[in-house]
Amino acid sequence: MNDEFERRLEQLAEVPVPAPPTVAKLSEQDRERSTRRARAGMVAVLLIVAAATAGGLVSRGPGGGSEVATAPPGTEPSSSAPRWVEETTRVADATNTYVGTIDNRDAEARDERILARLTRDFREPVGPNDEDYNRLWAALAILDPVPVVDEAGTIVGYWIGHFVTPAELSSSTAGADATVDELLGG
Amino acid sequence: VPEGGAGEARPSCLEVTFETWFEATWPRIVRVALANVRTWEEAEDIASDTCTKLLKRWEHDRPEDPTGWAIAVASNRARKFGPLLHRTFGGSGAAQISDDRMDLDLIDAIRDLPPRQRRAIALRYLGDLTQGQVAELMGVAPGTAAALLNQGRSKLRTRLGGP
Repeated sequence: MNDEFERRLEQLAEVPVPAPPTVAKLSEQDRERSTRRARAGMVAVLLIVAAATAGGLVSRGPGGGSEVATAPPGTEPSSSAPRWVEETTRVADATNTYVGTIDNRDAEARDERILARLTRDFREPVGPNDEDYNRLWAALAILDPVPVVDEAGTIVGYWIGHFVTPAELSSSTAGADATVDELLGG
Repeated sequence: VPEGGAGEARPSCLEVTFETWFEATWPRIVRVALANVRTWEEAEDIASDTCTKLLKRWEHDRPEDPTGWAIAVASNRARKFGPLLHRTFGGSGAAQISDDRMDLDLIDAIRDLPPRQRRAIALRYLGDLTQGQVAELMGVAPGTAAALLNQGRSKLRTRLGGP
């Protein structure tokens, strides 16, 4: 019988885990995660709002307009900070110059769409250096870009894992289509 | 009838606050991430990320099944970011998972399963979900989920020297 094996499996649900952070800590950790991932190259030149220390922090308001908030240099927003801290992310171009913001919800929704399609239509990644998987992810990101808007709410470019101008995006879509055709069969 | 499962209480999310849900569900989310990461720090990072997303949606855009949603998202994100997270945390002094109460051989064996079997096993046993919930979250037919679980169990049993 496999009673012992089944018992081991069932006991996985009882594995003790470290205590959860306080809910108030979650947002703070959210910013720390973003920083680590940026450092790892996962989000390249993406700068989190909380890291801005130069005074004016720009964010789209809930109504899609814009608002300017100021924070003392070096001030860390608290975990109960205004919603704008969590809703937008500052984006820089390849020269590390601030160009605008993206709505985090748009970016997350886009990532989930890509992940769902990869899982459904392609396959699971095989390690972190899965070239085809990474190529397909990049191509799908080009075909599903996240708008980057300036302080007036005007689209100034797109986030596809890095910032591109509208012209650069246009010139990339044919190649992205070809990659999707190649790896997904269209 | 749902399969039984040990683990934390499962509050009805229609009535509970985020804080109550979070405290009750946190362990399951961390455990699911363990199938794709190597340290507690990485697993907690995935769980925190997932719970933060849910917190932002809790008041106005809460998923119908917050627990299933969170476990599925954590599983996806661990699969997607696990290797990169490990690279990021590597050398940072993060403690490797070690606990006398932890069945490390079994967890290591789960990590070596093929991706779909690994996900099914992780959702079922680390996430403490029913077989039906596994099928739903993986977007497969119940029979497919059952097959993946059987194949995964069989490989684990062989790997661990069982009958």
